[in-house]
Amino acid sequence: MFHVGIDHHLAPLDVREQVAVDASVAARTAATIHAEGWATEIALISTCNRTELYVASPESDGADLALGAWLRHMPAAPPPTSGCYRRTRGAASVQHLLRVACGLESAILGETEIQGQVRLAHERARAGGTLGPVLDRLFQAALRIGKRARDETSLSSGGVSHGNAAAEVVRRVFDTLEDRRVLVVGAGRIAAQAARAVAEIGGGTFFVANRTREHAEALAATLPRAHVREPDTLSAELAQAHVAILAAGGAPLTVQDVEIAMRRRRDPLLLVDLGVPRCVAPAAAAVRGVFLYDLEALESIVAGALAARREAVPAVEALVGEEVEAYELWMRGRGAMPALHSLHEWAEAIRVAEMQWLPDDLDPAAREAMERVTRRLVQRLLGRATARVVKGAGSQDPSLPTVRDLQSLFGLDDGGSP
Amino acid sequence: MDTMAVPLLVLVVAGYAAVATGYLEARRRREATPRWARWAGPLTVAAHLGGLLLLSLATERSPFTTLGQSLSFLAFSLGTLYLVLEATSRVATHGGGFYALAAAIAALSVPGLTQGEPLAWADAPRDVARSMHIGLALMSTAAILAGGLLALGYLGTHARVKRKQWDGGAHGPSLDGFQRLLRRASLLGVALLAPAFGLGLRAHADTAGPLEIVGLTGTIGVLLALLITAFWIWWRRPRFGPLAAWLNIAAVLALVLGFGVIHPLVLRGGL
Repeated sequence: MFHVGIDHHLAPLDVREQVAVDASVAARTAATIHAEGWATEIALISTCNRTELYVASPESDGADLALGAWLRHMPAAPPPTSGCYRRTRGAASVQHLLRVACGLESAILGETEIQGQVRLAHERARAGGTLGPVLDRLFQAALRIGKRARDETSLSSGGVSHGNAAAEVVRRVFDTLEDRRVLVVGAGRIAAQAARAVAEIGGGTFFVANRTREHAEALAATLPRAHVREPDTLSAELAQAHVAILAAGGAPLTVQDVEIAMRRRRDPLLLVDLGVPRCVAPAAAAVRGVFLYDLEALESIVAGALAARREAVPAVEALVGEEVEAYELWMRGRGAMPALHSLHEWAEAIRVAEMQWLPDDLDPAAREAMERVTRRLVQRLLGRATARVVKGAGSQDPSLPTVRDLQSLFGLDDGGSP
Repeated sequence: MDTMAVPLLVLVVAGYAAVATGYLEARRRREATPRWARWAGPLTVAAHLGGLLLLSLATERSPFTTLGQSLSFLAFSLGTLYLVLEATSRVATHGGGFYALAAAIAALSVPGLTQGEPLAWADAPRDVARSMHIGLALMSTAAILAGGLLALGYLGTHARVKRKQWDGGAHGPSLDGFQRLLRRASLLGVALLAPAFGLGLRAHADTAGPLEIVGLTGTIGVLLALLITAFWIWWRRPRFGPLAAWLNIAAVLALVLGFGVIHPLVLRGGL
């Protein structure tokens, strides 16, 4: 098992851009390399942060062969001496993919999008016919460990962007946005990110106000149930809004503005101030029924979420360690398969030969019963020995028989024939 | 009382206490409530129901004919109410308080159960109206206590959100979620208390003295006023949530104070 790839740890964005491939190119590249014959299985992952080739090959110099294939089939790839490549083999390759799938190797620690990308790579390799038992098992383990890391630890907890943090505050105050009005003041990048993150909560009607109407319309087009409002209607809109995302310059909202907005209203008001300088006077936080979150407050939420994620890293690494060990045991067990296969073939040949001694005029039902009994007898005689040899091959326990013990006992030669 | 009921009603105290510990410890560690506690809670409440039924069968009376039995029934009502809340909301992070209070009330009931206290109305003929009055009063008490606990949860969450204190880990209901729960708890308190009061007046009009009637009416009137006001704020003006939460807490305090009046009446069989 080998892996060669470029990721955000070692390669800058312009290099990653050159080797990033879409789904169809990834499938074609994997199929082309597979057709060269030196690799039995191939899977290729390509995201904005990494492009990686996973290869199962009987060749001892599989890592070099993988890099050579990479350079041949990706013309824009940097030279091997660029220092952009990460190459691993054996257990290190297994561990790398598992870490990738958990989000431990992601630019944003614990991000979950990578799990979908690993799943796509797995499905693509299967559909392209470049997947075999070794990589199939590895990708299944990667998807399983990714889910466990997300469900059993806090590696993916909390929002780690201003937008996500704003959405988390909205959830903590309102749960959902059903029957709620969200006012977005400003249509720049930060306002758009926050508005989209809040929109993901579901429900809610959005009202976008911006000095340049075209920008407001462009943002409104990306939000559900969104309407454009003129900036001079801000006071009236604020009085009806449940959440206000403010990221436009101009005179900040005063305490008096906020107090006016709070008059005669039923629900609390959440003000998310993303402006620098601020869009809302900090003293407005003291108004009854108002929750004011500025950039500093959102950053502390992000920092808290990241800290919680970092705290989870040792636990996730322990999960990865367990899974790597389980995979290695399985791989070592696979090493005993040719010998075991020969053993069972040999026993079956004996069974079939002995069955020929049965009288020709034997009742068909009785013959069928004998077939069943003898087949079962062979399975039961060899079953325990098989299990112990598989276990012995996968562990370092000296009390368990090895493949060599099996070969010696039954007179199986290196090729597996008795 | 030759029945399994009393040992069972004593044992549930340990059950509630264990479950409360599981919930509170998980909250302290900012972890999800352990699965065993999630199972043990309903099992303890079911065992409590079994104990009360056995008691009722053994005495051939309602399971709240003494102070000890009434407290045990109150603890059971609180536990049951919490199970409904947990099944319909994300209140599990605050479950420790409910189970701890249920454990405390169930523990207070133990002396009354084990000392063979004579039944308050042992000699009195059966009276369905009186039984319904007591049952409804105890259930409304559970609803008011639940409202108080939820109000504490709301105030804690409100303070953290207002002060931007983000503690991470699993969090309970949103402020909006608390608002809905408290609105229902307040309404339930009113819906149970009002008929309990009416039935009580009807059942004891002949036996209760004027002072007892005045004391009881005053207590119930204050409770109803607090609960109705709290309900209205939760329903129509949730932005004044902290005020409504304090009203729910005040209702609990009024209930505890009022108990000083109701308690002797219950003991004397005057209710």
